[in-house]
Amino acid sequence: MSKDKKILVITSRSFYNDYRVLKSIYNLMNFSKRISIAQLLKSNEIIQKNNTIFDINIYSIKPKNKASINIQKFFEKKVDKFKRNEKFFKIFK
Amino acid sequence: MPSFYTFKFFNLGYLKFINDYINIKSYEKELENIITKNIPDIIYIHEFKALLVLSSIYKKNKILFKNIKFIYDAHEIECFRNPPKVFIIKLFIEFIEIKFLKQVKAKVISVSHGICNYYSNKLKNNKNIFLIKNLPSKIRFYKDNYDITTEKNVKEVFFQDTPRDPPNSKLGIYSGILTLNRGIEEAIQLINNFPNIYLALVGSFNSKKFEARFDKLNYDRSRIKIIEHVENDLLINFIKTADFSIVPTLPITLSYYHSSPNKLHESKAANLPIFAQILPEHLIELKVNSSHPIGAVSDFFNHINLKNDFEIFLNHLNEYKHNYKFEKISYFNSPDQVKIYQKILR
Repeated sequence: MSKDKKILVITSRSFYNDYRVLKSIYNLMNFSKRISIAQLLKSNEIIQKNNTIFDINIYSIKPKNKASINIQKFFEKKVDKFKRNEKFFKIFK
Repeated sequence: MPSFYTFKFFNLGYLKFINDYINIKSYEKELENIITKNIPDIIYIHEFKALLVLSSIYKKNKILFKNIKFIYDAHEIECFRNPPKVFIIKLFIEFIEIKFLKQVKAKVISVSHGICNYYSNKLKNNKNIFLIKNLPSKIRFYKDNYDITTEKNVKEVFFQDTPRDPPNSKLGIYSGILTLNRGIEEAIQLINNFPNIYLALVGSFNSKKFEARFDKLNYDRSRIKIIEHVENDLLINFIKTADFSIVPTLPITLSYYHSSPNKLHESKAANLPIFAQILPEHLIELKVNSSHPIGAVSDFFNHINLKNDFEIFLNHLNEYKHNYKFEKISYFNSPDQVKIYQKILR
């Protein structure tokens, strides 16, 4: 593969903390220096400063749609409430 | 599918999925702009959520992807991830994933032979499936500097407050995230039966819920201790001084059944005898059926046999350690892995 191929890595995990993502970028670096990363962040995830050894373009995409965030919050609340309902879980033990 | 594969109807998998699916729409536009701006030659996709966003963009704007090659890194079998999902959602995930991979003729990378077989069966094409194991790293991925000479090992850290009694007792390690369904509770229950065995759990909790549940467990705090997460590049040297490693991953989903976890490869790199759950990938990695096994397997669900198997394992630790002479240990950027990447990017 020629050295100048452009590679875009898309990950739904924060790449700073995921070793499989970091390792794949390191391996890809053997073949191309033109690598960019697009990371799909969760609505409550904070955009971190790049403290990795990789000097690359990073795009951090947060969910922008307000309606979607509200629906997400709604589900998160429901899930939390459901998880805390110990009486319900006792029935199925 | 394993006979002990369990299916729970009352789970939260579907709620999480609906939540994720609603979220997809809000990533689409920005990701489309990034692709239009960059015009990449290759798109490397990590996991299903990223694939789902891409497939949605692909549906609307196929021309954008005309000259782009795709590589999909499936960390697990998405529809059989933990927590188990309801039937309809499994079908939906499988449909979207396989359809997109076929449409774009993507190359698929996965972590174990079992997962590779799953994708080659689904895609009816095994030329585009590649195995990249979760091998350990010797490379520091972060810029912060630290003095490596001050680093301790697991033995020093574990016995700094507790004297080792008796002196010939053995120290085992479990490394990785401390969470539900990884067999940690079963491992603790097992170690409770052996007063001469110590266990270090090297890792951090991934949820407060499990931390609270863990606190309530009945175990000897001087024999079983939690040691904070150690950086990936230091881990091998840190665990090297232990006497054995325990890999109890429970096969509660198909994805876990075919898993080839980091901790297994890290323990191998540290030359530790390994006691693992009986799973296809563990049998291969530990060479259980060969003349030079480096560990033993047992069923962590079967508590009576487990105790006997562990006792036999402890009696053969020296033999397993000796058998590492026949092992070739490789790290993630070893020449053979680079060769696989060369093939993938061709």
